[in-house]
Amino acid sequence: MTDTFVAGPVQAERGPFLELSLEAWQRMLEDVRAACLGGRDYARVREGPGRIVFVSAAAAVRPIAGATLEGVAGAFLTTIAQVAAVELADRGITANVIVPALEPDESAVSAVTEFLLSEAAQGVSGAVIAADGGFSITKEGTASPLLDAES
Amino acid sequence: MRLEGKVALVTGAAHERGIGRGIALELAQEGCHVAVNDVAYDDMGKELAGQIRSLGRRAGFFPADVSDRDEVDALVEQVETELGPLDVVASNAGVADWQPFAAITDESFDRIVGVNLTGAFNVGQAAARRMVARGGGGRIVFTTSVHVQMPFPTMAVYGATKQGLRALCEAMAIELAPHGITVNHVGPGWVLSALNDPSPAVQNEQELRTSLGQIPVEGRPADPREIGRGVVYFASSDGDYVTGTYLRIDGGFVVGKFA
Repeated sequence: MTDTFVAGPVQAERGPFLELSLEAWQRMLEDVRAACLGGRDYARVREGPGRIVFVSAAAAVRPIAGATLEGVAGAFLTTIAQVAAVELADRGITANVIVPALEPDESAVSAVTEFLLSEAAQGVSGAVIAADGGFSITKEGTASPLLDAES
Repeated sequence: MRLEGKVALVTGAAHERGIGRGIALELAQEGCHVAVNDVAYDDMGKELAGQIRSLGRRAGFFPADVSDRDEVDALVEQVETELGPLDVVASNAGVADWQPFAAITDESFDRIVGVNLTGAFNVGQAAARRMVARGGGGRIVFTTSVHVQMPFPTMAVYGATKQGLRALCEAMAIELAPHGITVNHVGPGWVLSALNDPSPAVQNEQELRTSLGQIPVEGRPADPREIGRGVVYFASSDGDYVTGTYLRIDGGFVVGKFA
């Protein structure tokens, strides 16, 4: 297994935009900062091929009322991953983003994480992969049709 | 004139080679009274306010650091006291650094995120709260960048703040629509603004020529007033039905890069 850096899923306080406190905003930024600078530190010391994975947030891809903070955080980390992907490609380090459901499903996320950390994903970088049971493609409230389906 | 008698605030607007000035002048041209905000460049800010007054509008220079919530609350209150209730807010203030991903400094991260992202949250929320408190109606326009669609090496944090701003704008658009407030963003490509002075491309004449040469429209950077006209579109009645969206004003830079 390649040595890796994995951060997320992004979590933040939910609530109406107009009522969000500056403290909640700052707490969200502290988590984003830790993830971003953690990835930076990994890029500083990692010599050979490597893997960076950020688990973002559903609201970063599909805006959701009341989920402003996690949307901002996930969006932020998406660009961090994509710029890192461009810059670190020549060292064989990939950087990718997993988008979970609004209520993240651990097994769906870990299955995609496992793929991104594997040798098979050496050519996958800068990608944004939804592991959300279809949440980002539905317009039906908070449903994730595949996660909700009878298995 | 499409914005006669409206009151506008433009943050990060003082510098003589900045996008904010282009936005302020276009809003004034269309009839807005304009509050010019910046954290520095007092002389340029006052000169710009004078220029706007000479068009027959009310205008003033209102110094404040957008990354500081208390200063933003005081700014908005002072602008409304002196110029009237805000109709249009152009949250434009931004800073940038050029650093390889592995070389990003903690200080640079905090500075860029503080101004570009927390500053926009402070200004957007303070303005929206006042607009809603007086019964709704208003226009909020953020300045983002082509970075929301393209990753640029050595600009991870800057680009990420703009992507975060894109998400903030979309969430605000959904939640503020019932209050008659639209929220959109303009995305400049190349502008030879003071912000870009330290960039490697501007530092190297050959590199700059090559980069500008890739721009499909006339191989030239945007005039800041061309960005301002995008803000006028969102702010005017032409933009009544437009919210949560992005107007890229880049001379085809993004499509040129990907073509």
